[in-house]
Amino acid sequence: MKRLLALCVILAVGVSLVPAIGDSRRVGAATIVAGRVHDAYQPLDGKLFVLVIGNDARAGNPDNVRADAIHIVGINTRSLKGGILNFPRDSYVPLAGGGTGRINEALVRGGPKGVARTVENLTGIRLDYWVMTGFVGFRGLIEDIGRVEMRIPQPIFDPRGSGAKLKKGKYGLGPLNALAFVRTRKTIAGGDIGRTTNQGRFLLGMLTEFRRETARSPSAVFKWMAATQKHTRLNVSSAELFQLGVLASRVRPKDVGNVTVPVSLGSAGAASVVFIQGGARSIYARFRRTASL
Amino acid sequence: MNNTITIENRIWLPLVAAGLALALAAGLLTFLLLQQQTENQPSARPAPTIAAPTSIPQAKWRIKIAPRAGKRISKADRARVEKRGAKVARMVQTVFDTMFLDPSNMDKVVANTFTRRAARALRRPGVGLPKGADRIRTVRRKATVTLYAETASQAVASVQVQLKGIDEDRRFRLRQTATLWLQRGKKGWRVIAFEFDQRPR
Repeated sequence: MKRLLALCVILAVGVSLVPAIGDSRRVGAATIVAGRVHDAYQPLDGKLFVLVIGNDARAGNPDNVRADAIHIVGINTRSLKGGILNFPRDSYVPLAGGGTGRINEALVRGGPKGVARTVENLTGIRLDYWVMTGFVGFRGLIEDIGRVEMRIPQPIFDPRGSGAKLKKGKYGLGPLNALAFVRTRKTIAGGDIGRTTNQGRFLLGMLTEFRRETARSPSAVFKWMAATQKHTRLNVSSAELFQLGVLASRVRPKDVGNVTVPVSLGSAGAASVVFIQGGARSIYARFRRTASL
Repeated sequence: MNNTITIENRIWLPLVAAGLALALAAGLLTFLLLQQQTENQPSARPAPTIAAPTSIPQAKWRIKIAPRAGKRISKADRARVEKRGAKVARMVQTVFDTMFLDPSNMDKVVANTFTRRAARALRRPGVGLPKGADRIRTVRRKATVTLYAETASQAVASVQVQLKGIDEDRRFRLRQTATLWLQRGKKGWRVIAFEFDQRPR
Protein backbone atom coordinates (compact mmCIF):
# COMPACT_ATOMS: atom_id res chain seq x y z
CA MET A 1 0.00 0.00 0.00
CA LYS A 2 2.81 2.36 0.92
CA ARG A 3 4.63 1.52 -2.28
CA LEU A 4 1.50 2.20 -4.29
CA LEU A 5 1.06 5.55 -2.56
CA ALA A 6 4.66 6.48 -3.23
CA LEU A 7 4.26 5.54 -6.87
CA CYS A 8 1.15 7.71 -7.16
CA VAL A 9 3.00 10.65 -5.63
CA ILE A 10 5.92 10.20 -8.00
CA LEU A 11 3.59 9.97 -10.98
CA ALA A 12 1.65 13.07 -9.91
CA VAL A 13 4.83 15.07 -9.48
CA GLY A 14 6.12 13.84 -12.82
CA VAL A 15 2.91 14.72 -14.63
CA SER A 16 2.84 18.20 -13.12
CA LEU A 17 6.39 18.80 -14.29
CA VAL A 18 5.73 17.77 -17.91
CA PRO A 19 4.27 21.14 -19.05
CA ALA A 20 7.28 22.97 -17.62
CA ILE A 21 9.79 20.56 -19.14
CA GLY A 22 8.01 20.04 -22.44
CA ASP A 23 7.21 23.70 -22.87
CA SER A 24 10.55 25.16 -21.86
CA ARG A 25 10.30 27.88 -24.49
CA ARG A 26 7.37 29.37 -22.60
CA VAL A 27 9.36 29.55 -19.37
CA GLY A 28 11.85 32.37 -19.40
CA ALA A 29 12.65 34.76 -22.19
CA ALA A 30 10.40 34.30 -25.21
CA THR A 31 11.35 37.64 -26.64
CA ILE A 32 8.66 37.82 -29.28
CA VAL A 33 5.29 36.21 -28.88
CA ALA A 34 2.57 35.80 -31.45
CA GLY A 35 -0.64 33.95 -32.01
CA ARG A 36 -4.02 33.87 -33.59
CA VAL A 37 -6.58 36.26 -32.19
CA HIS A 38 -9.42 33.83 -32.72
CA ASP A 39 -9.24 30.07 -32.37
CA ALA A 40 -11.01 29.61 -35.66
CA TYR A 41 -8.73 31.10 -38.28
CA GLN A 42 -10.97 32.49 -40.99
CA PRO A 43 -9.32 35.16 -43.09
CA LEU A 44 -12.19 37.08 -44.58
CA ASP A 45 -12.57 37.68 -48.30
CA GLY A 46 -8.91 38.05 -49.12
CA LYS A 47 -8.17 40.40 -46.22
CA LEU A 48 -5.61 39.76 -43.52
CA PHE A 49 -5.13 41.87 -40.36
CA VAL A 50 -2.24 41.57 -37.92
CA LEU A 51 -2.04 43.45 -34.63
CA VAL A 52 1.53 44.50 -33.85
CA ILE A 53 2.24 45.36 -30.20
CA GLY A 54 5.45 46.79 -28.80
CA ASN A 55 5.68 46.70 -25.03
CA ASP A 56 8.09 48.55 -22.77
CA ALA A 57 9.62 45.48 -21.18
CA ARG A 58 13.39 45.61 -21.09
CA ALA A 59 13.56 41.81 -21.07
CA GLY A 60 11.14 39.11 -22.14
CA ASN A 61 7.39 39.69 -22.18
CA PRO A 62 6.23 39.79 -18.55
CA ASP A 63 2.56 40.25 -17.81
CA ASN A 64 2.62 43.65 -16.11
CA VAL A 65 3.79 45.85 -18.95
CA ARG A 66 2.11 48.47 -21.05
CA ALA A 67 1.81 48.58 -24.79
CA ASP A 68 3.85 51.45 -26.15
CA ALA A 69 3.21 50.64 -29.79
CA ILE A 70 -0.09 49.48 -31.23
CA HIS A 71 -0.54 49.06 -34.96
CA ILE A 72 -2.87 47.16 -37.23
CA VAL A 73 -1.18 45.90 -40.38
CA GLY A 74 -3.67 45.01 -43.08
CA ILE A 75 -3.09 43.31 -46.42
CA ASN A 76 -5.57 42.80 -49.20
CA THR A 77 -4.45 39.48 -50.64
CA ARG A 78 -6.19 40.16 -53.96
CA SER A 79 -5.05 43.67 -54.75
CA LEU A 80 -1.76 43.22 -52.84
CA LYS A 81 -2.24 46.64 -51.28
CA GLY A 82 -2.16 47.28 -47.59
CA GLY A 83 -2.16 49.69 -44.74
CA ILE A 84 -0.69 50.34 -41.32
CA LEU A 85 -3.04 52.02 -38.86
CA ASN A 86 -1.28 53.47 -35.82
CA PHE A 87 -2.78 54.18 -32.40
CA PRO A 88 -1.03 56.55 -30.00
CA ARG A 89 -0.51 54.79 -26.68
CA ASP A 90 -2.43 57.43 -24.73
CA SER A 91 -5.59 57.07 -26.81
CA TYR A 92 -8.54 57.17 -24.40
CA VAL A 93 -10.83 54.31 -25.44
CA PRO A 94 -13.30 51.77 -24.07
CA LEU A 95 -11.27 48.82 -22.86
CA ALA A 96 -12.22 45.19 -23.36
CA GLY A 97 -13.38 43.85 -20.06
CA GLY A 98 -15.04 47.10 -19.07
CA GLY A 99 -14.26 50.71 -18.33
CA THR A 100 -12.40 53.34 -20.28
CA GLY A 101 -8.75 54.18 -20.16
CA ARG A 102 -5.59 54.59 -22.15
CA ILE A 103 -5.33 51.95 -24.84
CA ASN A 104 -1.93 50.83 -23.55
CA GLU A 105 -3.55 49.64 -20.32
CA ALA A 106 -5.39 46.94 -22.24
CA LEU A 107 -2.20 44.91 -22.25
CA VAL A 108 -1.90 44.97 -18.47
CA ARG A 109 -5.53 44.03 -18.05
CA GLY A 110 -5.93 41.33 -20.67
CA GLY A 111 -2.61 40.57 -22.33
CA PRO A 112 -2.22 40.64 -26.11
CA LYS A 113 -5.69 39.21 -26.66
CA GLY A 114 -7.07 41.93 -24.40
CA VAL A 115 -5.45 44.53 -26.65
CA ALA A 116 -6.80 42.71 -29.70
CA ARG A 117 -10.37 42.72 -28.35
CA THR A 118 -10.10 46.40 -27.41
CA VAL A 119 -8.92 47.28 -30.92
CA GLU A 120 -11.56 45.08 -32.55
CA ASN A 121 -14.32 46.71 -30.51
CA LEU A 122 -12.99 50.16 -31.37
CA THR A 123 -12.55 49.66 -35.11
CA GLY A 124 -14.91 46.82 -36.04
CA ILE A 125 -11.97 45.11 -37.75
CA ARG A 126 -11.64 41.39 -37.16
CA LEU A 127 -7.98 40.67 -36.42
CA ASP A 128 -6.33 37.44 -37.53
CA TYR A 129 -2.99 37.44 -35.72
CA TRP A 130 -1.25 39.34 -32.97
CA VAL A 131 2.50 39.66 -32.49
CA MET A 132 4.20 41.33 -29.54
CA THR A 133 7.75 42.13 -28.58
CA GLY A 134 9.76 44.13 -26.10
CA PHE A 135 13.20 45.67 -26.33
CA VAL A 136 15.21 42.45 -26.35
CA GLY A 137 13.12 40.69 -28.96
CA PHE A 138 13.12 43.72 -31.22
CA ARG A 139 16.90 44.10 -31.05
CA GLY A 140 17.46 40.38 -31.54
CA LEU A 141 15.26 40.28 -34.62
CA ILE A 142 16.96 43.28 -36.24
CA GLU A 143 20.34 41.76 -35.46
CA ASP A 144 19.41 38.57 -37.30
CA ILE A 145 17.76 40.13 -40.32
CA GLY A 146 20.38 42.81 -40.75
CA ARG A 147 20.05 46.57 -41.03
CA VAL A 148 16.80 48.27 -41.94
CA GLU A 149 17.23 51.28 -44.19
CA MET A 150 15.34 54.39 -43.08
CA ARG A 151 15.18 57.97 -44.26
CA ILE A 152 15.77 60.28 -41.29
CA PRO A 153 14.44 63.70 -42.44
CA GLN A 154 15.80 65.60 -39.44
CA PRO A 155 18.57 64.70 -37.01
CA ILE A 156 17.30 62.93 -33.91
CA PHE A 157 19.24 63.56 -30.72
CA ASP A 158 17.78 62.13 -27.52
CA PRO A 159 20.68 60.84 -25.40
CA ARG A 160 18.78 60.82 -22.10
CA GLY A 161 15.54 59.39 -23.42
CA SER A 162 15.77 56.79 -26.16
CA GLY A 163 19.54 57.18 -26.57
CA ALA A 164 19.10 58.19 -30.21
CA LYS A 165 21.94 59.97 -31.99
CA LEU A 166 20.81 59.79 -35.60
CA LYS A 167 22.03 62.04 -38.38
CA LYS A 168 19.81 63.25 -41.17
CA GLY A 169 19.88 61.10 -44.27
CA LYS A 170 19.05 57.65 -45.60
CA TYR A 171 20.98 54.75 -44.14
CA GLY A 172 20.71 51.38 -42.47
CA LEU A 173 19.78 51.18 -38.80
CA GLY A 174 21.26 48.37 -36.74
CA PRO A 175 19.57 46.94 -33.63
CA LEU A 176 20.44 49.75 -31.20
CA ASN A 177 19.73 52.63 -33.58
CA ALA A 178 16.51 50.98 -34.77
CA LEU A 179 15.26 50.67 -31.20
CA ALA A 180 16.24 54.26 -30.46
CA PHE A 181 14.42 55.45 -33.58
CA VAL A 182 11.14 53.75 -32.70
CA ARG A 183 11.32 54.87 -29.06
CA THR A 184 12.10 58.55 -29.53
CA ARG A 185 9.25 60.96 -28.78
CA LYS A 186 10.50 63.94 -26.82
CA THR A 187 12.77 65.44 -29.44
CA ILE A 188 10.70 64.93 -32.58
CA ALA A 189 7.81 66.84 -34.09
CA GLY A 190 4.45 65.61 -32.84
CA GLY A 191 5.84 63.99 -29.71
CA ASP A 192 4.15 60.69 -29.03
CA ILE A 193 1.99 60.95 -32.16
CA GLY A 194 5.11 61.53 -34.24
CA ARG A 195 6.69 58.49 -32.59
CA THR A 196 3.67 56.36 -33.44
CA THR A 197 3.87 57.43 -37.06
CA ASN A 198 7.62 56.71 -37.10
CA GLN A 199 6.92 53.20 -35.81
CA GLY A 200 4.64 52.67 -38.80
CA ARG A 201 7.41 53.98 -41.06
CA PHE A 202 9.81 51.49 -39.51
CA LEU A 203 7.44 48.62 -40.26
CA LEU A 204 7.42 49.82 -43.86
CA GLY A 205 11.21 49.95 -43.75
CA MET A 206 11.25 46.30 -42.69
CA LEU A 207 8.94 45.42 -45.56
CA THR A 208 11.24 47.28 -47.97
CA GLU A 209 14.25 45.38 -46.68
CA PHE A 210 12.39 42.08 -46.88
CA ARG A 211 11.35 42.71 -50.46
CA ARG A 212 14.83 43.81 -51.45
CA GLU A 213 16.33 40.61 -50.09
CA THR A 214 13.71 38.27 -51.51
CA ALA A 215 13.89 39.97 -54.92
CA ARG A 216 17.62 39.31 -54.96
CA SER A 217 17.23 35.79 -53.59
CA PRO A 218 13.70 34.39 -53.14
CA SER A 219 14.95 31.87 -50.60
CA ALA A 220 15.82 34.77 -48.27
CA VAL A 221 12.29 34.27 -46.96
CA PHE A 222 13.74 31.36 -44.98
CA LYS A 223 16.29 33.61 -43.29
CA TRP A 224 13.45 35.83 -42.07
CA MET A 225 11.39 32.83 -41.02
CA ALA A 226 14.31 31.40 -39.06
CA ALA A 227 14.98 34.76 -37.37
CA THR A 228 11.32 35.14 -36.46
CA GLN A 229 11.05 31.61 -35.09
CA LYS A 230 14.31 31.93 -33.16
CA HIS A 231 13.11 34.94 -31.23
CA THR A 232 9.44 34.15 -31.14
CA ARG A 233 7.07 31.97 -29.23
CA LEU A 234 4.63 31.36 -31.99
CA ASN A 235 1.15 30.00 -32.16
CA VAL A 236 1.58 30.13 -35.89
CA SER A 237 2.82 27.14 -37.88
CA SER A 238 5.80 27.21 -40.23
CA ALA A 239 3.37 26.68 -43.08
CA GLU A 240 1.35 29.77 -42.15
CA LEU A 241 4.52 31.78 -41.60
CA PHE A 242 5.78 30.75 -45.03
CA GLN A 243 2.52 31.77 -46.68
CA LEU A 244 2.58 35.12 -44.87
CA GLY A 245 6.18 35.62 -45.98
CA VAL A 246 5.37 34.82 -49.60
CA LEU A 247 2.42 37.21 -49.45
CA ALA A 248 4.51 39.99 -47.92
CA SER A 249 7.13 39.60 -50.65
CA ARG A 250 4.46 40.46 -53.26
CA VAL A 251 3.35 43.71 -51.54
CA ARG A 252 5.14 46.90 -52.56
CA PRO A 253 5.80 49.39 -49.76
CA LYS A 254 4.42 52.23 -51.88
CA ASP A 255 1.09 50.37 -51.96
CA VAL A 256 0.91 50.36 -48.16
CA GLY A 257 -0.45 53.50 -46.52
CA ASN A 258 0.84 54.56 -43.10
CA VAL A 259 -1.90 56.37 -41.18
CA THR A 260 -2.13 57.46 -37.54
CA VAL A 261 -5.64 57.88 -36.21
CA PRO A 262 -6.55 61.58 -35.86
CA VAL A 263 -6.46 62.65 -32.21
CA SER A 264 -6.68 65.72 -30.06
CA LEU A 265 -4.89 66.34 -26.78
CA GLY A 266 -6.87 66.28 -23.58
CA SER A 267 -7.07 64.92 -20.11
CA ALA A 268 -9.18 62.40 -18.23
CA GLY A 269 -9.07 63.21 -14.56
CA ALA A 270 -5.43 63.82 -13.78
CA ALA A 271 -4.20 61.75 -16.69
CA SER A 272 -2.96 63.29 -19.90
CA VAL A 273 -4.62 61.47 -22.76
CA VAL A 274 -5.51 61.87 -26.44
CA PHE A 275 -9.02 61.56 -27.79
CA ILE A 276 -9.56 59.83 -31.11
CA GLN A 277 -11.44 62.16 -33.46
CA GLY A 278 -14.71 61.28 -35.22
CA GLY A 279 -12.93 61.23 -38.57
CA ALA A 280 -11.32 57.97 -37.52
CA ARG A 281 -14.58 56.13 -38.14
CA SER A 282 -14.33 56.58 -41.89
CA ILE A 283 -10.72 55.37 -41.74
CA TYR A 284 -11.81 52.26 -39.85
CA ALA A 285 -14.60 51.62 -42.35
CA ARG A 286 -12.29 51.95 -45.35
CA PHE A 287 -9.65 49.75 -43.75
CA ARG A 288 -12.23 47.16 -42.77
CA ARG A 289 -13.61 47.08 -46.29
CA THR A 290 -10.39 47.07 -48.29
CA ALA A 291 -7.58 46.16 -45.85
CA SER A 292 -5.64 49.05 -47.37
CA LEU A 293 -5.15 52.73 -46.65
CA MET B 1 -26.09 -53.00 -72.72
CA ASN B 2 -24.38 -53.05 -75.98
CA ASN B 3 -20.61 -52.58 -75.52
CA THR B 4 -19.70 -52.98 -79.11
CA ILE B 5 -19.06 -49.97 -81.30
CA THR B 6 -21.14 -49.92 -84.43
CA ILE B 7 -19.67 -49.28 -87.86
CA GLU B 8 -21.31 -45.80 -87.91
CA ASN B 9 -19.67 -44.86 -84.60
CA ARG B 10 -16.32 -45.97 -85.92
CA ILE B 11 -16.64 -43.38 -88.69
CA TRP B 12 -18.11 -40.58 -86.51
CA LEU B 13 -15.68 -40.90 -83.64
CA PRO B 14 -12.57 -39.91 -85.62
CA LEU B 15 -14.54 -37.08 -87.21
CA VAL B 16 -15.65 -35.84 -83.82
CA ALA B 17 -12.11 -36.09 -82.50
CA ALA B 18 -10.77 -34.12 -85.45
CA GLY B 19 -13.47 -31.53 -85.01
CA LEU B 20 -12.63 -31.16 -81.37
CA ALA B 21 -8.97 -30.80 -82.19
CA LEU B 22 -9.75 -28.15 -84.78
CA ALA B 23 -11.94 -26.28 -82.35
CA LEU B 24 -9.23 -26.36 -79.74
CA ALA B 25 -6.67 -25.13 -82.21
CA ALA B 26 -8.94 -22.32 -83.37
CA GLY B 27 -9.62 -21.31 -79.82
CA LEU B 28 -5.94 -21.27 -78.98
CA LEU B 29 -5.14 -19.21 -82.06
CA THR B 30 -7.86 -16.71 -81.27
CA PHE B 31 -6.61 -16.41 -77.72
CA LEU B 32 -3.08 -15.74 -78.91
CA LEU B 33 -4.26 -13.11 -81.40
CA LEU B 34 -6.31 -11.33 -78.76
CA GLN B 35 -3.40 -11.36 -76.35
CA GLN B 36 -1.21 -9.65 -78.93
CA GLN B 37 -3.79 -6.97 -79.60
CA THR B 38 -4.16 -6.23 -75.88
CA GLU B 39 -0.44 -5.77 -75.50
CA ASN B 40 -0.41 -3.22 -78.31
CA GLN B 41 -3.19 -1.12 -76.74
CA PRO B 42 -2.31 1.57 -74.15
CA SER B 43 -2.55 0.49 -70.52
CA ALA B 44 -5.65 1.40 -68.55
CA ARG B 45 -3.40 2.95 -65.87
CA PRO B 46 -2.78 6.68 -66.31
CA ALA B 47 0.47 7.48 -68.03
CA PRO B 48 3.12 9.23 -65.92
CA THR B 49 2.99 12.97 -66.36
CA ILE B 50 6.23 13.56 -68.14
CA ALA B 51 6.73 15.44 -71.32
CA ALA B 52 6.64 13.40 -74.46
CA PRO B 53 10.18 12.85 -75.68
CA THR B 54 11.16 14.83 -78.74
CA SER B 55 13.66 14.00 -81.39
CA ILE B 56 15.28 17.40 -80.98
CA PRO B 57 18.14 17.35 -78.47
CA GLN B 58 17.38 19.34 -75.34
CA ALA B 59 19.69 21.07 -72.89
CA LYS B 60 20.58 19.07 -69.85
CA TRP B 61 18.95 20.16 -66.61
CA ARG B 62 21.43 21.65 -64.14
CA ILE B 63 19.86 21.42 -60.71
CA LYS B 64 21.21 22.41 -57.33
CA ILE B 65 19.51 21.48 -54.06
CA ALA B 66 20.42 23.42 -50.94
CA PRO B 67 19.17 23.81 -47.37
CA ARG B 68 18.60 27.17 -45.72
CA ALA B 69 18.43 27.43 -41.96
CA GLY B 70 18.93 29.80 -39.09
CA LYS B 71 21.17 27.40 -37.23
CA ARG B 72 23.62 24.55 -37.78
CA ILE B 73 22.14 21.79 -39.87
CA SER B 74 22.40 18.26 -38.55
CA LYS B 75 23.28 15.30 -40.76
CA ALA B 76 19.74 14.01 -40.41
CA ASP B 77 18.30 17.36 -41.51
CA ARG B 78 20.66 17.47 -44.46
CA ALA B 79 19.67 13.98 -45.56
CA ARG B 80 16.01 14.88 -45.28
CA VAL B 81 16.54 18.04 -47.31
CA GLU B 82 18.34 16.10 -50.04
CA LYS B 83 15.63 13.47 -50.25
CA ARG B 84 12.73 15.90 -50.35
CA GLY B 85 14.68 18.34 -52.48
CA ALA B 86 15.09 15.67 -55.13
CA LYS B 87 11.33 15.24 -55.23
CA VAL B 88 10.77 18.96 -55.60
CA ALA B 89 13.39 19.08 -58.34
CA ARG B 90 11.60 16.35 -60.30
CA MET B 91 8.34 18.28 -59.95
CA VAL B 92 9.98 21.46 -61.21
CA GLN B 93 11.42 19.64 -64.21
CA THR B 94 7.98 18.21 -65.02
CA VAL B 95 6.32 21.62 -64.87
CA PHE B 96 8.79 23.34 -67.17
CA ASP B 97 9.32 20.44 -69.55
CA THR B 98 5.57 20.20 -70.00
CA MET B 99 5.21 23.96 -70.40
CA PHE B 100 7.70 24.09 -73.25
CA LEU B 101 7.92 20.60 -74.71
CA ASP B 102 4.45 19.14 -74.19
CA PRO B 103 2.07 22.07 -73.57
CA SER B 104 -1.06 20.05 -74.39
CA ASN B 105 -0.55 18.25 -71.08
CA MET B 106 -0.09 21.41 -69.05
CA ASP B 107 -3.57 21.37 -67.49
CA LYS B 108 -3.03 17.87 -66.13
CA VAL B 109 0.40 18.71 -64.73
CA VAL B 110 -0.86 21.93 -63.14
CA ALA B 111 -3.76 20.08 -61.53
CA ASN B 112 -1.28 17.66 -59.95
CA THR B 113 1.32 20.19 -58.85
CA PHE B 114 -0.35 23.54 -58.10
CA THR B 115 -2.87 24.46 -55.43
CA ARG B 116 -6.27 25.36 -56.85
CA ARG B 117 -5.77 29.04 -56.23
CA ALA B 118 -2.32 29.05 -57.82
CA ALA B 119 -3.62 27.01 -60.77
CA ARG B 120 -6.36 29.58 -61.38
CA ALA B 121 -3.81 32.38 -61.34
CA LEU B 122 -1.69 30.55 -63.92
CA ARG B 123 -4.40 30.77 -66.57
CA ARG B 124 -3.30 34.02 -68.08
CA PRO B 125 -1.55 34.88 -71.31
CA GLY B 126 2.13 35.62 -71.58
CA VAL B 127 3.45 32.45 -70.00
CA GLY B 128 4.65 29.55 -72.09
CA LEU B 129 5.05 29.12 -75.81
CA PRO B 130 3.41 31.25 -78.50
CA LYS B 131 0.55 29.46 -80.26
CA GLY B 132 1.67 27.29 -83.10
CA ALA B 133 5.26 27.19 -81.90
CA ASP B 134 7.17 24.21 -83.14
CA ARG B 135 10.61 22.60 -83.19
CA ILE B 136 11.38 23.78 -79.69
CA ARG B 137 14.93 23.36 -78.54
CA THR B 138 15.94 24.33 -75.04
CA VAL B 139 19.46 25.70 -74.81
CA ARG B 140 19.56 26.20 -71.06
CA ARG B 141 17.64 24.63 -68.20
CA LYS B 142 18.77 25.49 -64.71
CA ALA B 143 17.12 25.36 -61.28
CA THR B 144 18.11 25.98 -57.69
CA VAL B 145 15.86 24.37 -55.12
CA THR B 146 16.23 25.69 -51.58
CA LEU B 147 14.46 24.01 -48.68
CA TYR B 148 13.79 25.37 -45.21
CA ALA B 149 15.94 22.98 -43.22
CA GLU B 150 13.94 23.33 -40.00
CA THR B 151 10.96 21.53 -41.52
CA ALA B 152 12.03 20.46 -45.04
CA SER B 153 8.39 21.20 -45.95
CA GLN B 154 8.78 24.62 -47.54
CA ALA B 155 10.80 25.17 -50.69
CA VAL B 156 11.66 27.86 -53.19
CA ALA B 157 12.70 26.97 -56.72
CA SER B 158 14.46 29.52 -58.92
CA VAL B 159 14.36 28.43 -62.54
CA GLN B 160 15.90 29.68 -65.77
CA VAL B 161 14.94 28.33 -69.17
CA GLN B 162 16.18 29.56 -72.53
CA LEU B 163 14.93 28.11 -75.75
CA LYS B 164 14.45 28.67 -79.44
CA GLY B 165 11.87 27.51 -81.92
CA ILE B 166 9.80 28.33 -84.95
CA ASP B 167 6.51 30.19 -84.92
CA GLU B 168 4.72 30.60 -88.27
CA ASP B 169 7.97 30.11 -90.18
CA ARG B 170 9.73 32.72 -88.04
CA ARG B 171 12.45 31.76 -85.65
CA PHE B 172 12.11 33.00 -82.11
CA ARG B 173 14.09 32.85 -78.90
CA LEU B 174 12.67 33.04 -75.45
CA ARG B 175 14.05 33.39 -71.96
CA GLN B 176 12.06 32.69 -68.85
CA THR B 177 13.06 33.28 -65.25
CA ALA B 178 10.67 31.86 -62.70
CA THR B 179 10.25 31.43 -58.99
CA LEU B 180 8.03 28.77 -57.52
CA TRP B 181 7.14 28.70 -53.85
CA LEU B 182 6.20 25.18 -52.77
CA GLN B 183 4.76 23.66 -49.63
CA ARG B 184 4.49 20.03 -48.59
CA GLY B 185 1.08 19.07 -47.26
CA LYS B 186 -1.17 16.05 -47.00
CA LYS B 187 -1.33 15.72 -50.78
CA GLY B 188 2.40 16.09 -51.17
CA TRP B 189 4.23 19.07 -52.60
CA ARG B 190 2.21 21.83 -54.16
CA VAL B 191 3.11 25.15 -55.74
CA ILE B 192 1.39 27.82 -53.64
CA ALA B 193 2.70 30.85 -55.48
CA PHE B 194 4.81 31.63 -58.51
CA GLU B 195 6.34 34.42 -60.50
CA PHE B 196 7.26 34.20 -64.17
CA ASP B 197 9.32 36.70 -66.08
CA GLN B 198 9.31 35.79 -69.76
CA ARG B 199 10.76 37.80 -72.57
CA PRO B 200 12.19 37.31 -76.03
CA ARG B 201 15.95 36.96 -76.28
